[in-house]
Amino acid sequence: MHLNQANLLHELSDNTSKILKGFENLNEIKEVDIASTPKDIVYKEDKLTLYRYNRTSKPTYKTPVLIVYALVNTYQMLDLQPDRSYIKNLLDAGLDVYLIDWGKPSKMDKYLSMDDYINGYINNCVDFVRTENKVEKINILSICQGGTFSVIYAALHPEKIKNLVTHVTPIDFETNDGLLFRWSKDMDFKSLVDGFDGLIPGSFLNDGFDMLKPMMKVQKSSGLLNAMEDKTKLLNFLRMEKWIAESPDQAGACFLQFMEDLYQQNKLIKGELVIGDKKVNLKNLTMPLMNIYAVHDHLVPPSATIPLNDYVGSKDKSIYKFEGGHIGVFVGGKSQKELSPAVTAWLKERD
Amino acid sequence: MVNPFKWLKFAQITLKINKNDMNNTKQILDTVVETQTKAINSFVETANKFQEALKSDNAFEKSTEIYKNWWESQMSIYKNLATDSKLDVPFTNNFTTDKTEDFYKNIYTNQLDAIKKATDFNLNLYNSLSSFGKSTNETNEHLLYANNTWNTLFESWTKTLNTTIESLTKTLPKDTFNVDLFKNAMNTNALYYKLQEFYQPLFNAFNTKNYSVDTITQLFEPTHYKKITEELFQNFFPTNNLNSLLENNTKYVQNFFESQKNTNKEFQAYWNTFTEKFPHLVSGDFAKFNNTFSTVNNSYSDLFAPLMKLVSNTKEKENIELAITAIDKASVYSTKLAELQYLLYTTGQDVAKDTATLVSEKATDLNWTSSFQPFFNEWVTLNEKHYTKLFSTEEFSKLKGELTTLSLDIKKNLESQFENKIETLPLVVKSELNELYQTIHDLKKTIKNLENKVNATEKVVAPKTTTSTKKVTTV
Repeated sequence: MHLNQANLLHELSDNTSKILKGFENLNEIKEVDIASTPKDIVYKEDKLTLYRYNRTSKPTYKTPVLIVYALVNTYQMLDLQPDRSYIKNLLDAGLDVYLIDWGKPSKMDKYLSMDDYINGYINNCVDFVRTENKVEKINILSICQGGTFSVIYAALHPEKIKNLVTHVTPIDFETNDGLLFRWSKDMDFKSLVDGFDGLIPGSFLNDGFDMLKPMMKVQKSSGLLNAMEDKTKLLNFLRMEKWIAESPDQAGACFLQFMEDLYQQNKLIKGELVIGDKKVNLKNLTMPLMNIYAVHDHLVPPSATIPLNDYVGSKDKSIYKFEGGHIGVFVGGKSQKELSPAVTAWLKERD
Repeated sequence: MVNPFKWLKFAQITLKINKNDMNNTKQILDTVVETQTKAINSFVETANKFQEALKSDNAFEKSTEIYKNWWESQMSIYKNLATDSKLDVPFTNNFTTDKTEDFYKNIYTNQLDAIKKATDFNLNLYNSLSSFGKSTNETNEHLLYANNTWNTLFESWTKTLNTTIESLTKTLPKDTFNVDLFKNAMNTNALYYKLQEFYQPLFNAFNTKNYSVDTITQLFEPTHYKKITEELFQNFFPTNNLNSLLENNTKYVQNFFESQKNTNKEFQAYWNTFTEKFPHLVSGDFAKFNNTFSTVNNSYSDLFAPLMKLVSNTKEKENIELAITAIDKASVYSTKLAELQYLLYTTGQDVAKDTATLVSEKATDLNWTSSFQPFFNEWVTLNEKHYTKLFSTEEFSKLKGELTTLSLDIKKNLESQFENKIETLPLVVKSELNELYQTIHDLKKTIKNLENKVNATEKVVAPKTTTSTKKVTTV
């Protein structure tokens, strides 16, 4: 085997040029804008903010939609950039969209439990949207852990929810398919929460996520070298990086219960989960359900998502398979043409 | 006395600088990139001409001429760089003066250095051509020397790039999140070339038909692959923090015993005697040493337990116990960390083996050898496969869990020690704040529940509004 030295030198020179150009581009980019779709603050509680997205025309759906995102990372990925915005697609389809921004917990919030988030914050936001729109029931679109919370909420308050859409939502934690699920079985979460003094740093979670794909950073950095010369590509790359970097800390009490009761003991599926003073029975979730999973999801494997449909009491339930990854479901090129049309069509039939 | 004319001239120059700042910065970068591109294109063109010349009858004469033309062209390109970029004034647009000059100097020096090395390489290539017709060994010798020079060139480039970009990133605005991003890109670039360097012996072995079991076995040595593994998993190779933690806590314990009527001296003397008489109990591996030390320490502590009653300050006593616990935990942590590092190293070894197999399979694939990129991509895929497999094992999962818990226990321990130390100062400590947070949380919850009850009650008792035609009769 003979490596052509002249070509190697070319590569070396190319890379150096890219780096220099990249530095110039980086210096010129003053702001990396994400989540730029206009919205108004309509309700605030503690660190939570409820937004209502601006519409240029009247909604064509009778029922408003409340988006419940996970506590991990931020909702901004759903509105990453104008040409890759799930939220914009929903608005364009005619929906009236509300969204919960959980905010950034501090040490003051370390005692917030799952009950506080579900029966407190989510319930108050649901009531607000119902009152504002003078409707008995609303639609919930939920993402990942936000989906787990929404499923629990819908099982506890089915009278308030018209339709429920879950995206890449972990429900059955028995599986060891994903590394997160594997590792959580051997983690002492009490010590973890205690060690971090009740507030789990977002950076700790990010380090864990990075390890799920050991070579991801190398691949990403290698891709960055090629993107650097092109300012548009570089900006797109930076938007995703900004979203990843802005990972809020997690309230310890809620985190502990979520990890112990769900990841380790799988109490939701077993019917043993207690939120507040009530046991959660998934059979009480009777509204129409659309359960979306991503085939190549390395964070929440399909085996953790699909079983939801087997446990709920809904008669009208469907499962939607998306060929992509956990984030690709929302920001991938294919997603823009596929996901929102599927969801909005499903909601229209049940409006 | 200050010369007013001198200061006026300085002011004039300064004003002129500020207007030209934006243009100067761009000009420098453009000039450097352009020069480099010219130089490399010229070199590549020449290398191709050399290869063509090999096929002709008068290779010797042609190659002499080619080499001479190339050398002259390179010199003129770099002479222009020196002239075009010769600025006496500093930049101010987003750059600090010294950093920009460093960057410029660095790039320029490196260009000259690189071209000297490239010259060296070409000289050997020329020599190998001129020994055309002579013994194969002599030709190969020149080629090998050229390869070695090439490797030195790579090293020089990557080192320069890294240090240059390090100084460049310092000029980026402080609140940008993408500073580390650039560094990561640079590290990946460096990894790319480090990898090339690592596998060069294997490529050479195939090229010069010196392929042997020894060459491959050398690659299998974990120590050779060590640096690449450490670069991939930096978080698992911390050294300084752990060492300083052990050092500080040990010193603290020693100081305590020193202050407590020289108890430490006695223990030291006891320990020294023990290790002299029973060396086999403290040599060999760290775990054995740790175990022996703990046992001796515990028996010694039991013997002198009554002396601890002399310590009247309970926080001080608590801190000593905490410090001893910290040492114990840090010892266990470092043992387990070594276990984890071993798993990473041996997995790296597996990757190296599979990569060597891959190279031997693809050795004759011309498409594969035109660039290092296909090799790099395959290497990344192999790493992903092997390390994902390792990460999904129970052994790794348990170790990772234990290490996380231990590290946080140590963190908590140090925080408790610190809290004890500042107890007498008029400062609010974490444990007191935690009590406050709990109280606030409970109060908030109570208030919300009460509000909900009030709202529900209001709905029930709110009077209904009706219109009635009934006459009211006043009596």
